[in-house]
Amino acid sequence: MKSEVDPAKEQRVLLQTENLSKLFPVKGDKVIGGTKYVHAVDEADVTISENEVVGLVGESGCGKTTLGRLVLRLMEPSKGTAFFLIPRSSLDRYRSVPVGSKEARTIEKEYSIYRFDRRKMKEFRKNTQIVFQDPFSSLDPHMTIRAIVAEPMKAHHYRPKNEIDTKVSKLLEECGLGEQFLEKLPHELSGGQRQRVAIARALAMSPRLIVLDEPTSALDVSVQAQILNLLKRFKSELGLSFLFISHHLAVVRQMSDEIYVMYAGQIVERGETEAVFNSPAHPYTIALMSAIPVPDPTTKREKILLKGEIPDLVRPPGGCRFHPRCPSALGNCGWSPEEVIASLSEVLASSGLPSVSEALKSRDCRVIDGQTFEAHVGESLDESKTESIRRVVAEKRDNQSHFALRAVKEITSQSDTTGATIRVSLTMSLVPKFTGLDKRHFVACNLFPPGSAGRDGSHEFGGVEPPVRGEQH
Amino acid sequence: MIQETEPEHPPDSEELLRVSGLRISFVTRSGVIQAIDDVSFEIKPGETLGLVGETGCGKTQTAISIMRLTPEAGIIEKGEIWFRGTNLAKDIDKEFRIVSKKNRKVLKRNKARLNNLERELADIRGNHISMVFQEPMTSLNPVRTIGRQVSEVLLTHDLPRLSNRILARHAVPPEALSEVADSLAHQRGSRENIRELVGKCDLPGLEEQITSVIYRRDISEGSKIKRIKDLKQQVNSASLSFLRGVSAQGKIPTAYRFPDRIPILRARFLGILEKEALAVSAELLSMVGMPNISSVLKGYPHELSGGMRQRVMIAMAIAASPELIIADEPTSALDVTIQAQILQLFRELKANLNTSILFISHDMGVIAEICDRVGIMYAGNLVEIADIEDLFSDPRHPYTKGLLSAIPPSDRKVESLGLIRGSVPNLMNPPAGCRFNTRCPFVFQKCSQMPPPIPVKEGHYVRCWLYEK
Repeated sequence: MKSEVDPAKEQRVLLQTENLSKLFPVKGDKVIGGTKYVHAVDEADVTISENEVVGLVGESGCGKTTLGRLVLRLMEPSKGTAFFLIPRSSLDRYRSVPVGSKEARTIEKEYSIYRFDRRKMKEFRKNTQIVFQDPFSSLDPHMTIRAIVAEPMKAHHYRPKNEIDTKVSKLLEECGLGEQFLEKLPHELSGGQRQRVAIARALAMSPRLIVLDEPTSALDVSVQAQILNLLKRFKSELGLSFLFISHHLAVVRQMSDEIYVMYAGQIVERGETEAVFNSPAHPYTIALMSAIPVPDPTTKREKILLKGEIPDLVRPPGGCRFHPRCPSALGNCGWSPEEVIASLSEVLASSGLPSVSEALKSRDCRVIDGQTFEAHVGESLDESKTESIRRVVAEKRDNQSHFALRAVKEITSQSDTTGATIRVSLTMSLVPKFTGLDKRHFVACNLFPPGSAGRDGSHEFGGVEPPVRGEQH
Repeated sequence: MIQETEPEHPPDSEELLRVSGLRISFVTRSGVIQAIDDVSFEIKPGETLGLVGETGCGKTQTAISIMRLTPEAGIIEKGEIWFRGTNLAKDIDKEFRIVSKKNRKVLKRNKARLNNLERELADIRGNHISMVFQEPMTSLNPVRTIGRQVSEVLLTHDLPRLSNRILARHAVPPEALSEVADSLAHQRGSRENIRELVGKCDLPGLEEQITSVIYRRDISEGSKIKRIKDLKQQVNSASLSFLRGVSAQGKIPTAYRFPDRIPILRARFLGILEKEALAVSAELLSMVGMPNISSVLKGYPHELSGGMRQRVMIAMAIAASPELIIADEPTSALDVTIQAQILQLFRELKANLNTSILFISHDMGVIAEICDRVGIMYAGNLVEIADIEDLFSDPRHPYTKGLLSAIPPSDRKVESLGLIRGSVPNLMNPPAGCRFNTRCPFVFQKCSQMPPPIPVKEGHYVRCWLYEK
């Protein structure tokens, strides 16, 4: 790829993923309901430019490691693609033509890493490397350090052959390991030293992109500082790009130029690191950042404690996946009728309307479509009772455990001979789309609907509290 | 192998735990590892002490030696561990190790002493001191239900409490209960208010049960009142005498030991207590913020997420109302948002139960959020101990300074992080004197001797010759 330098020296994007998704089939009942899938990564668009560190943060199980492996083609995606060293013009062209058209296929064939033939793939492998989290299991225990670092060079037929040894010493030297380590075995090294070996191995073929998958999570804080400083030096000296995957936000802030925040398989916010850290916009990012323990006992920050846990990705919540835990969810964030029914029956039970509550829980309650459900109540409901239901809903919708009630648009009731039917219709839910808050800060949240001016439209960027804070309870 | 005779002196009454001069070595085939040397600290009632340090610095070993859970290879060579007037480190291990097959007398004496010690420790472990481990996956029993595991603690340590609860419910007149329930139905307020209100109602033995129903977060307000009214329980006379026996003796009375083995009688007598223990378990789980308690009690550990398992562990740790909880990296295996939840839980427990906590962590951020005092450990030495504000604003030991500067700040971007050169020494052959002297930027001649704890100010001690006056 390096050989095909564009004569016009057109700017190329080092790596660009387009709607990249990965589903993992789950073992289980294939007869009823068909095969189920874990939606590990869902429509992720990540851009990595030359000499840039892109941070990917999120909690365990949010799909960040899967995404890291997808961009190296260590696994095949279920949907979408990733381009390597694609010229900007081709990328724009690809986005403007329909998916699957002839032109799109031609571009994919040329630049998509999942379409590369053997020769291009080999070239791609030279240009990309990975450093794993656990330095205890990512080094072969019966190879010497020298052999471990030399292995990629041998695999890629490094020439001249007789220079391999000097190059190994040089690489280790740069990573802070002297000659005496060459003949040692991995078990003789400490965690930090092993991670240095892993980094030396990754640098062996002078790659352009290194995926660092939690490179310091297994290390102590003083060793972590050594490794982070080392990585920073390599970035500026060798012009490398990193995809830095970590759950440790402070580390990501130190390392990256741009960050992507993932939640439950989706990217919810992305932007320039300082912009995202100084004024996080997505409620999840805000909660995540407030949860970082600060090593300073004098600052007592207010923490936003999220209720509940990461959802089951086999059946991810509709709309915005964060809405069941969101401290500022709106009515259109994707509440399902089931969520509304559960919440409604709970509030009605404690508000003197147990018969309606029972009816909602019973089998008499049926969901008509994604936006309406109705329940048959054994007693007649006059207008005043319906009004009191509406009042309860209006009262409780600002209680964080009953945000689902915010989705209720209309409640009507109809009496008949055997009782009454109560019919609830919900607000149309909206899947959040990325909105630019400024040139380099994007968020996918319904609090920031597309087309709104964003924050820099009316305010000066950086000094404003995101509107979500005001709605905390 | 002669034990140095030091005058044994019980600590002041205001201290709950005092560890002094603790030295633990591990005997391995390749040599003796001097894991902990001369560690001293104390914990006051209601205080949270943090122990920070890097992997292998001995913080976990220090903590588990308090419960005398040091692995077989580890020997407490020296030191005292005073807890409530008992020296837990007495009968220092090495004496037990003089096992001479020829000298039956020594063997017999050692065995008897060991049995005594075990009995004494069994009373303390789980009852007065309890522990929360790092890995909630491995420290729960995978083949027993959560309910059984939590109630096991109660059935082992708190039988009188269980039977007293039932007896109180048996004795109370139902009218009194509905009176309380009605007065509570209109009262909402802080914990103190509710406690005071319930205290006024003069229902001996029931205050705790009523307040715990009110505090429960998993049931609605309406059903809470109903539950209080339903607290009344009729117990038949046979069970009644059994329960009275348990309350009086603090254990299952001897007369009931035999019927215990016959299933039908067991269900009759012990079954009452087991059922009560499950009810208390539900209260405990609600205290630690567990959702869906009734299904969790019947479920198994693998059905829970990491954060929820840690909550179960904490519920078990507080079950017997211990004076001291040892929390060994309780949040290190958790995600940051879940960690924030668990830390919040610890803060609540601190405020409500007034328990002392020994909190072990490698994360300075976590320590800063939860501890009152903090000790820094390096290579088996406690190098600095201070109040939390003092330590962060005025660190003295070069290692503490290095450690603090190596933490990546989350509120700003820095050019490069502080470094401590070199790596941790091998404890099989630690450097003479101060163990940090191989890496210390300020090393001078005197550092080849171990400095004593030098007071910097009230409650702030540092083991470094730089501060010698």
